[in-house]
Amino acid sequence: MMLAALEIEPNQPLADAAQSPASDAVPATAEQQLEQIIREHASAVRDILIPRYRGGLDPSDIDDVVAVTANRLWTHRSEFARLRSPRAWFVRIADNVARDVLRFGWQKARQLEISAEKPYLESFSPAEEQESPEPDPERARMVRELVEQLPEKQRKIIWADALSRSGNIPAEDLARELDIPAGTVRVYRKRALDRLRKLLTEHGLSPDPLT
Amino acid sequence: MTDQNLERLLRETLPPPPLGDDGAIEALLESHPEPASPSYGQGMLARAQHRQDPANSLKQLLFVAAILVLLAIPIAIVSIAKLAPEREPTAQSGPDGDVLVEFALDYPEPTFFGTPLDMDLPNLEPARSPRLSFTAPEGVRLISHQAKVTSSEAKPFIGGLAMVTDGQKLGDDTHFVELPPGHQWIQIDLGQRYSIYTINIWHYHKIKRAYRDVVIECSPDESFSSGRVVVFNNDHDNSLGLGAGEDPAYIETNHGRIIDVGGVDARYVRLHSNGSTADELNHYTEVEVYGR
Repeated sequence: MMLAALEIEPNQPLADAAQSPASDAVPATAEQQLEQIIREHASAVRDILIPRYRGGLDPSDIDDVVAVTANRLWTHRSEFARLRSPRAWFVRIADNVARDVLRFGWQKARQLEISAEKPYLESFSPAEEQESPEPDPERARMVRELVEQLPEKQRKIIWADALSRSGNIPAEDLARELDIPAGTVRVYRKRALDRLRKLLTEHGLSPDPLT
Repeated sequence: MTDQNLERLLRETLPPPPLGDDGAIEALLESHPEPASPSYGQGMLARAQHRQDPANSLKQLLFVAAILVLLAIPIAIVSIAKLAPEREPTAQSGPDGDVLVEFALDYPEPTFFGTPLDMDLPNLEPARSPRLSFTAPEGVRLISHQAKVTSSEAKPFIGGLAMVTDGQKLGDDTHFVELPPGHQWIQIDLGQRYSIYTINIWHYHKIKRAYRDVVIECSPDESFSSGRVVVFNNDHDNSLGLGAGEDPAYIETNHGRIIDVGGVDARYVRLHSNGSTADELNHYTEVEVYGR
């Protein structure tokens, strides 16, 4: 079981550095620490994620993302002692979960939640996130609104592809998540791109700024 | 704009901007100091602990085992029922002396999904109880299973034409053929001439919709240039140019539509449609032709 692999016992006292500055009472165990983080910050994390993933995940999806994040936090609670800011860690993991859901779907995201082998501190690299340039916010907002007009499955395909770091997500993987044939994924992807191309042109967001 | 450029644009604009370092995240959290709902998050920790408690895992295993046992009982009953001899058709006497036999069809599960759209068809029939069986003279049987299907469009958007006669009537996303927008038709070659008594048709029935200008015709001639008999026509305004029809438009369900043909002598059955109230595309899940 996971508990056997932990570096510390769940009720082991934590380092002072792991304490949340917002708390009045000092939590004594990982369990208490996690409880405090969730109690104090879950709602704020939700508020942060909703605008970040608007158009890709709706508020009820974000609730599920926060719940999955709580599970990941609990799985890796042994690492709290090494954290400078547990609550920033909470936000980072929640953001990763949201990306995982959009890239791989709920099924895979939940598998990652319970099967992650290396510590999350190592699996997450802030530098990796910095690779993509910050988009023009207004342009990004308009593109998201246009993507929102697509049918649900086409929208999910477009979001998954956009968040993939290595080209489009394989049609077979999306087919499994969306419960449709791989051929249908390819057709939906093509239709979505054709529709977006038309909408972008209509809204003056073309003409081909990337050639 | 090429697909590659469009995909690159989406990669640059859809993902949210980087969160930044811990300091930036701390600042972000400080901007949300008060919980929107004090109770939000309660129970999340309890669930997380519950999932990882070995005792709970054992409880879950026992629970799953109990569910499987409970599920196995009806499955066993259904399996035994399927092994039983097929129900004998009910025999009646027809007006012309033929012995009429009642056929009870095998229907797929209903799969309605989504919010029904407004239907703008003037000839749409009012809601009614589905017709679940039909009668036909003794000796009539399903003659279209695995029959060759051709269409006005050689390359369907989704699925294959063989799906029309493969016996699968499910309303999910894997058992239908999708033809391009506008007027399209499919044609079933029964292999030889038959007396056709009934045609049963299932368009796409996962989402509530009515197909426009459904016209069904039978002919002994592949090109339909001779011996053509129209057996169903709800093209009320003759938009297909095949003649106006007075049959009602109807909403697709898992019960499809039973069309009485009455013994038309034909080898080919051609089914037309012109999109639906949901979109311009044309779909077929299954067509059954009964004859002798």
